[in-house]
Amino acid sequence: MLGKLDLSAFIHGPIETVAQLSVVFGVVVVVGLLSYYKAWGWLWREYLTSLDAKKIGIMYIALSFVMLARGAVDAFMMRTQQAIEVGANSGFLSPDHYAQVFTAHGVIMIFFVAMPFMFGLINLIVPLQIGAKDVAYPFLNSMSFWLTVVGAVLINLSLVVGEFAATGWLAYPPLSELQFSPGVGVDYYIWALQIAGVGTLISGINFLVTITTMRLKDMSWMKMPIFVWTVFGAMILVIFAFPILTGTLGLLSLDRIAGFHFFTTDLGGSAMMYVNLIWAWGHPEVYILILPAFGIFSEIVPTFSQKRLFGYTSMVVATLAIVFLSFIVWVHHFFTMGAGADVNAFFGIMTMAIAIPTGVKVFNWLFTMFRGRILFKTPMLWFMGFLTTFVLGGATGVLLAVPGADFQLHNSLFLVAHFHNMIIGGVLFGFFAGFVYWFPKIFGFMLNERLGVYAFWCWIVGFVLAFIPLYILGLMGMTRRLYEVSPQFHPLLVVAGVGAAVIALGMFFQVLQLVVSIWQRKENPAGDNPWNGTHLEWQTSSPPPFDPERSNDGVMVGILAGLFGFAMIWQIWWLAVIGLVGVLAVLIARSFQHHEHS
Amino acid sequence: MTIKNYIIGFVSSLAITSVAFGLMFKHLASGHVWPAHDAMVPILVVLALLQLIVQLVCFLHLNKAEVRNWLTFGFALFIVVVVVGGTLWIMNNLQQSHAESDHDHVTPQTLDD
Repeated sequence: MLGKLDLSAFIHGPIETVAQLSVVFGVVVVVGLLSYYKAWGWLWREYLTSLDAKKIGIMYIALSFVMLARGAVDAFMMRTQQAIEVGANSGFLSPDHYAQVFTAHGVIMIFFVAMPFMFGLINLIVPLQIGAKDVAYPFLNSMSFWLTVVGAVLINLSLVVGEFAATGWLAYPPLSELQFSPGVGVDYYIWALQIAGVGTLISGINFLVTITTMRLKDMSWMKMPIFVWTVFGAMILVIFAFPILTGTLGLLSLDRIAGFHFFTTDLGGSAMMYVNLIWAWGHPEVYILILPAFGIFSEIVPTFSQKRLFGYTSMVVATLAIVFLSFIVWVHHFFTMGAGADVNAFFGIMTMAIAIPTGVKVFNWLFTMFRGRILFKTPMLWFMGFLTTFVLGGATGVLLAVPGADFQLHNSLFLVAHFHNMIIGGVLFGFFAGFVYWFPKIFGFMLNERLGVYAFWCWIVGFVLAFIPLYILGLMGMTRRLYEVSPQFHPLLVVAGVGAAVIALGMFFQVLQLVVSIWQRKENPAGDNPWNGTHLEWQTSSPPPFDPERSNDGVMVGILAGLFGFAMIWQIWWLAVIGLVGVLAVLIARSFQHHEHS
Repeated sequence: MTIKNYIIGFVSSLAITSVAFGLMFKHLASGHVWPAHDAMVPILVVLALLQLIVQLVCFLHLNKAEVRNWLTFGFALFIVVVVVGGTLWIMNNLQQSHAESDHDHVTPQTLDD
């Protein structure tokens, strides 16, 4: 009746129970507050069922902030474990729990922090920047959002019911196969990503169509703001890369549920094929995240340098070059798997080549600042923090692109430091910059500047403290994902732990900044164009007019897809059928109604 | 007429799918005799390509002289060639280097980054 689900799924060790209780407690508090303030109707009408791209964008960003808190707690647990695990002290996490924590950290930060943050900013700004009233398919936009929420809910549900994958964030077989991971952890991983991935794919189509067909008449391709160009590039990558992820995870779930042998070690399966396929998606994925961040900086640098962007055409060409090249570099994630020198050399050279268009962008931003009258507001600070850290990360990336060097550094903390360098210093700083920059447009009041500056300095100092030691540790030979650490690594791990604490202080200032700014919103009205921006989004009112159009179907699809996902994880087949048929029924019923939007 | 296109597409998709399944059942039911084992794979590939063309023309409107559609299709082809071709190249290469070397010493590293 209930598949693999029974009472033992709710019983955990002491630390896991704390996590379990805090999820339940959090849900109870939110539900209680909403009921106390009688806010359910308002929330339902104004946000949950809204089809307005800006409302959906706000919800995406709220989701990403909640998940950022969760992912950050995971990070702090790992840093604490490695910092206190010395001598007789074996730390506070069990090995299996530690493996779940680093897996959840990676999955959450990429899929449920960076992706929703990106889609949130795109929803808020792209329609305004191209002069469109909304996106091409407002209902699909709502549905995409709810499918992403379902993925996030499933990940958090794994804290309460059952367990999460303990395989690393890409769930490589044979470890992720049934033989070695018999629990439901990997199934939580698979179905959270499958459902959220469908949402991402639909969003990609939605924005590609919006940008292609809904620009103002006078906005030719070469008049589009660079942010729109980079989103265009990122959406192309979404459309072509995400089906590979869906297919690969689909094959893995066939292995696990139906006894297939795509990636097993016997009966003709090949685990190496999984690694190859997952990275054919995984490499474009990192460019999906970084391209919009590049676009945000291309908006911010001219505004705060009070000059035109230097080299518009080369920015466009560089963006498109990255789109092409990002599909031809994926082997650099597994140089050590044993391919010959020809394969490794080809992909190594391609990887070095993709640094060229990125370098073009960096020089364009520098030349934009050159002889400009630079205003050091928070968005510009985030940019300059990005520039210094990202160039360092780029340099270590080119180093890792040399197969010979990679053989030494593969799977070490050097690599961990490199990609955090790109994703925190690049993607996250970019999205923070965009958030501060466009916040006044969407909400009509300014964010507190002083607290924003404090947050920035905590982040950048904390980042350096937390990740430069990891570069050194990597060169010393420390590998990643270690539960027990040799004593000679310990001092630098303590430094990294201090860095994580400084980052936590930065996050505290960001929360404080939001609270204080909302508190003082009457004193700090934004006006239509607080930063003297030149693009179309600044030509409308702040906040811009919202579209009252709404539909309950998006939430319905989300709930039914969530039931389907949960049922697939626990193999409750009747519920899976109900969920899947329900989703199709809602969509078919909707197609028979007449809508102004589709 | 779009409706006409969709109906033609729907019916021919169904037909192609049923032919593929039908032949496969026939193949299994006849104990791998008719259609012969060696013939099945080419037959299925041809049917799959037919299916692809039907869907592209009838559902994705690739019959018109619209430049944008053909550009998109061209890029899709490029990606398919890169991913499928690249995968074949990489996997063949891996297999060869693993076959050449001493089996006792080669454990394929499957740690991601």
